Amino acid sequence: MPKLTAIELEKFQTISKHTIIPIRDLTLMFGPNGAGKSSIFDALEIMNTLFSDDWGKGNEKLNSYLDRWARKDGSEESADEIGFGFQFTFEEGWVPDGLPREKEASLRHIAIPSLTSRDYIEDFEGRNFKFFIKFKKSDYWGWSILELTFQNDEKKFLEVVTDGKHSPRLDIYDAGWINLYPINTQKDKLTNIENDGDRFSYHLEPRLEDMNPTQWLHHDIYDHASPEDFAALNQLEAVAQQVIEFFKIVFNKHFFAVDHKNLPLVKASRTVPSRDEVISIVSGEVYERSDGKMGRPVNINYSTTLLSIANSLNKLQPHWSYLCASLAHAKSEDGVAPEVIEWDLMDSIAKINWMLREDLFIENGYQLDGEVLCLTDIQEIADVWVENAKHYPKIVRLYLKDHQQRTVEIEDVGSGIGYILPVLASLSHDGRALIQQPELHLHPALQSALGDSIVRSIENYKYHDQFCLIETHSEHLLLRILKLLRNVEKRVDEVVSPLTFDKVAVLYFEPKSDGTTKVHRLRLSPDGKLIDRWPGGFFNERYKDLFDDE
Amino acid sequence: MSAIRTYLMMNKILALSPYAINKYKDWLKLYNKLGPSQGIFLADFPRKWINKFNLEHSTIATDDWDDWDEKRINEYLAHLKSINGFISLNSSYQENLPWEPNYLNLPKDKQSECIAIGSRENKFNVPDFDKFDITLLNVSDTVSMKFSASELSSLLKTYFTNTEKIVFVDRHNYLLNPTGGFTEFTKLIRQIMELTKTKPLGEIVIFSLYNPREYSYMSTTEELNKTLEKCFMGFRTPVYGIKYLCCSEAGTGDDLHARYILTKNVAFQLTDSIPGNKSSQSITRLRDIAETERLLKKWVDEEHKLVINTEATYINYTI
Repeated sequence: MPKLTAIELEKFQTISKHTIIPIRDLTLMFGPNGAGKSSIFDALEIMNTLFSDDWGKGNEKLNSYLDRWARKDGSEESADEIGFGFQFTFEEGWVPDGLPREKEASLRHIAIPSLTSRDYIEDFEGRNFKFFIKFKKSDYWGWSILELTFQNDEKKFLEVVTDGKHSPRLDIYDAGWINLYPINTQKDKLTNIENDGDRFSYHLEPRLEDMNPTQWLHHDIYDHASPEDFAALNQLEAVAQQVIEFFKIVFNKHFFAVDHKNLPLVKASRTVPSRDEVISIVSGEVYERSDGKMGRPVNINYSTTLLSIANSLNKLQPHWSYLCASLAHAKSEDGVAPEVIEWDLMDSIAKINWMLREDLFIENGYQLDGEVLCLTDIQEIADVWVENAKHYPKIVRLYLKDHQQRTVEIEDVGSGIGYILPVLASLSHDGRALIQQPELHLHPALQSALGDSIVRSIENYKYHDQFCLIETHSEHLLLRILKLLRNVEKRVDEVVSPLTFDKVAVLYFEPKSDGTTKVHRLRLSPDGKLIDRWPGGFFNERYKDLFDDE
Repeated sequence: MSAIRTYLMMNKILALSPYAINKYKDWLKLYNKLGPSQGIFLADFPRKWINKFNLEHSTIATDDWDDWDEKRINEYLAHLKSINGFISLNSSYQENLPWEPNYLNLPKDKQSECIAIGSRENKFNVPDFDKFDITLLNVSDTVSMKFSASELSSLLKTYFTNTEKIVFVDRHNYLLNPTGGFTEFTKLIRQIMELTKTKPLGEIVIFSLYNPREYSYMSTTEELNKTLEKCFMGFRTPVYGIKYLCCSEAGTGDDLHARYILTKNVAFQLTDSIPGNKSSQSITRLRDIAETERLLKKWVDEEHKLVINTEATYINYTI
């Protein structure tokens, strides 16, 4: 499975120099307000868009992100620039599975057959891959590609190179699994395409306005080109796009769900929904029928009435919607599900309730619950009467139960639990947890306890490529996580994969006097101590307030 | 001069009963003398001494300090812990006995490393605050002698075994002498690795002048890697290894003329290289907080401006 190992930024918001930011199973980001911690999430957001099939009309979505997040250094001579990318590693034995058929088709010339047949496997297994793209803005052309790299730690596959005077060139390298066969047979007849051994190179039209999600790298050769040149260019462009598609699939499938329109980020600006707002309508699910075939789900958009209700109800932030969908799923299970005590086998609601019960609200005994109503039209009941509740759309209203099984509204139990539920929702699903300030409105003791929940979820990841990225100011949270690292031996037999020091990245974003940010990785020892010094002293504020009277 | 005597001159360990402080003036007498940069470590005896201290002070009469004072003491102790001001004595502690007999049961060599303060009017003849000579906590900043590798590692043993990072700064921190043998500096690093093999040390960083003409192992990363392996392969490296940086000074504004050994919290300055050519050598622990912080930032946080010509890290640590 490919695993995200780093994000690269250059001239991205306050990050000026090219910076490689390590990503581990747990990555904690610290630093003063305005230091640029959120730029990591913004980089993921822009890559989520870049690797999607939706750049907006006239590429305006991508264009607006580039405009917003490019670093402006204020000097008149220098054009705006922005660079971002990511690194990932292919674990040994990974073969692509479950890819949508159309995506497999688009990759037929490249990685899929190689990986399936294990030809050229040495180009993948254990290799660190890198994607990096840099844009530059000019007054005439708007944004254009200045630099682009697709490579692993051994070889380059695709690269945009420029000498600064002429238009950039695209170099494509013959890597075995990249099929350049048709072009290779014609290479003696090419006049506008450079070829030296395993590299083909052509001039590129790098302007964003000429790009689209399915064709990034148009050629820039119109004069004196032979028919063979044009044929070869078309093929090279197709191959280049296939290489991009390969990275696109890795990014979308393994780091973010393909259907995420927005980054699944628990924002610091989250709010607690009122009792009238914790209501959502969710579509039916695919289910297995008694004859072994898959049942047809009923989506909310099959009926104008349901769609109208959905438009008025579904205004919750993404993680609340996820909680509603998870509760609907849990309550659609046939019969009473046996109590599961293995964390990795629990559904999301069971995990959330475990964290509430065991870590966070032990005395109050709060448990997430809700009312789930199945929806169908009356004719369907009369005609077929399909009992499986998974088939139907549902209206869900969330509430809490206390230790005396009394129903309590989320907005009535103090703000802490309302702010933490989206965090727990993010931690509980088997994807990526991206969280800003999980400690929002939590008492210090609860901030520490939240560290237990975070570590528990990470130590029981279902999939190897999961990761958790947290932006925080909480000393309590960090100290608890460091303590759990020290005590890892105690949990070895209780968890899927104990969290050890090498699976944690502690990052500190230090604002510099010139307005830029320097990102430090503060390394940890096996016993959970910081090897590197905490910039400005380790949460020294309390100490200064108590001892410095001036 | 014996190694032990030398060692006692660079730092002392204060073994303090959790009951010893019950007047705020005791605390005022004591607190500004504590800390690695002052040369005084507090013995973590019993283990988790801070917890024990807090527990005891919730039960004993402390009539002249209020909650605010207690908060300041707690915060100070937490700060002291964060700057590695506590040191473990690695000795057993019997909870059913008072602190003083536990202290007196320590092996003699451990007791001799410590200065003890017991609770007031204890029956075990351990000095209490009223009888304690506070000048015993004065530690000399400077030691002058010509050090061998073992003498220097012994002198700074407490600092080396109680830090996550050690940095060496000198133009002449060479690994091999012209005949290919280990230098005295390399022997010092080997001694430190032996001393810290079960300790929290995470990284050793060495700055040296880039001088490939005389020291050919600096010419390439591969050569440097091989040399580091040759010098240290018999020892278990810290988790992030030994990083060796060959630097050029010209035009950078920074240089390697002044010689330093730095831990995560303390800076020592040497008057000559290790071993050096002069007939005498001295080492000084810097007390000035601002100057220490400036040096730590430059060398421990690696915010210098030197040009790194060749760099290699040797790691043989396995989990």
